[in-house]
Amino acid sequence: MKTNQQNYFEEIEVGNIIGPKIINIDRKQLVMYAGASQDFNEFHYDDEVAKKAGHKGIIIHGALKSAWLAQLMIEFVGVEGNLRQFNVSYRGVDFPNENLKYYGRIINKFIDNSMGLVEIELSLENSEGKITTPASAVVELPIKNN
Amino acid sequence: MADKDTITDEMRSFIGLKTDPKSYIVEKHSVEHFATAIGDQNKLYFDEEYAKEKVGGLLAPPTFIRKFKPNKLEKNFPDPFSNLVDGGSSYIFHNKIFVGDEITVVSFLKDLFIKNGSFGEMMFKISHTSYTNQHGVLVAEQEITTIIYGKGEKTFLS
Repeated sequence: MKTNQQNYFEEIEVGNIIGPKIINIDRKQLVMYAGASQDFNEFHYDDEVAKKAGHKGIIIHGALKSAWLAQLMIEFVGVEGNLRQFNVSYRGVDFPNENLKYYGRIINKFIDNSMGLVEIELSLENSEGKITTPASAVVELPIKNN
Repeated sequence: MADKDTITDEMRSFIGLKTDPKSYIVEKHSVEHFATAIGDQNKLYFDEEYAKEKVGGLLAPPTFIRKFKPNKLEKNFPDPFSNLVDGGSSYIFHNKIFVGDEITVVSFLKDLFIKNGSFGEMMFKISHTSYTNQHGVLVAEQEITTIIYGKGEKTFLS
């Protein structure tokens, strides 16, 4: 589906895929996110602390992964739509310098109170194709013939 | 049984205790830094003219509000484990959050339970946070699941 111009409720079909996008970030980006989000837990930038916590090295902030998935939704709904609900579950940790893939799939659409609502299943996969971060969203899309 | 052993009455007494409200301004440069840190170049966060025309003003990305931490309670929760992972979040967005808004944050512990998983015994802490703007409008809610586990040297900040 388009993420660079306005999507309308009528154009969306169940099964449509949003994305995928591939992201591969470095330690610097994690440090930037730590600063920007005020999350200074050291296992996001200090390998020794991450290893003590049982990881192979520094891990990506769960909230940063959720920010990417939310960004995908904001691009999908465009300026006329809204992100209404967003649930994200961190089942597995992810690491910098690995290709991560994320995408959405339309699973339902319905009209409620003259608003076009769309349910989306979201996934973020690690480089081995394992979904580490399943998520879901309910978004509102504009209706063309309103 | 495990719940009874690990979750003490003192821990349970934290459930439902609301933090004192804490207010934050959604600052323009703070939003820019956040959007840059997540790799998001959406003009709604950067271009004032564009944002004004499209949605009425510069916006903050949805998960930006997460940086607005609630006040701490007078007493610290007696964490029985040494390690922490973020289990996930559920957000409800009621209204857009604009640059310049003043957001008041209140949080409370909603639930506490034990599960056994890959790290052994783990405590799940479910907290609910509300975000209200300067007009008294509830703009967003977030429910966070925090998982703590392990008996080693403490590796997280509380």
